[in-house]
Amino acid sequence: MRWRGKRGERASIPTASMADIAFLLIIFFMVTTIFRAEKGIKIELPYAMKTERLPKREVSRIWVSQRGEMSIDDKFVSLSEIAAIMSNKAIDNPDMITQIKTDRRAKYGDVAYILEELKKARALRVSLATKEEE
Amino acid sequence: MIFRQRPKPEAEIPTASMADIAFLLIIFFMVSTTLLEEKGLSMVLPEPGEETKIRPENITHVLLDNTGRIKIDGVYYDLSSVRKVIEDKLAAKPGTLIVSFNIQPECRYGTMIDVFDELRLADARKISLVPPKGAK
Repeated sequence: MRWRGKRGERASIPTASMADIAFLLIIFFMVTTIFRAEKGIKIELPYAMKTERLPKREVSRIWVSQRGEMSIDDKFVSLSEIAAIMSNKAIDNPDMITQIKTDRRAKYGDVAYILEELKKARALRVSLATKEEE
Repeated sequence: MIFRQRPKPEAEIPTASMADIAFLLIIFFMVSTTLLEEKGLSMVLPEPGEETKIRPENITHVLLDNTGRIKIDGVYYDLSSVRKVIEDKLAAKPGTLIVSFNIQPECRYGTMIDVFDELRLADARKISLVPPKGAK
């Protein structure tokens, strides 16, 4: 039995909605991108191997410069203010991780006293910022 | 005189290349965005006032002095051997050994991180940072 061949229809992929898909992707990435909120101060981080990545949304940062100046939210603070500031932040976000970004040439003592303040503020999850060693 | 009206050409915006433009934008922003990688050594501080007595034989004292010398249980070591020493000590008392890490406040932070990283690499889970003198 012979089939009569149907007249060949032109095959085509509809591309009209392609632009919509692409713009949707753009908008999705724009909305989900978080911009860096603070400038911080200029520091050189130390290197370490056994590092862990941090979930960005939970992180609040304390910067410690080489000379021991401390900065939170782009404002210089003194050691005695840290407990109050961080305890407010810890109440707003109970899952908060405090990241301490310290210059590698700083003194350990500066960080040690901050850790004591964080204990008082009950901000117990802490991460010491490092760069990954290759 | 009567002009014959020309047939009006249909107005249309070409949308075929719209997708190309949009994807080009996506790729441009993907390439030009630098992702902020945040890494660090994580730890959980003890609750204030939470002090437990630990039997002295279950503690290893790691002391880091102002000049960056490392002393483990009274013996000086250099950085490269710290990991091995701690691993051996942990293997001798699995699960119970606590590393007490005492750092002098004048020590460089970078040095402290180097040693702390070695302790982590040796898989020491229980590390106690000795609070500085004068802190409550």
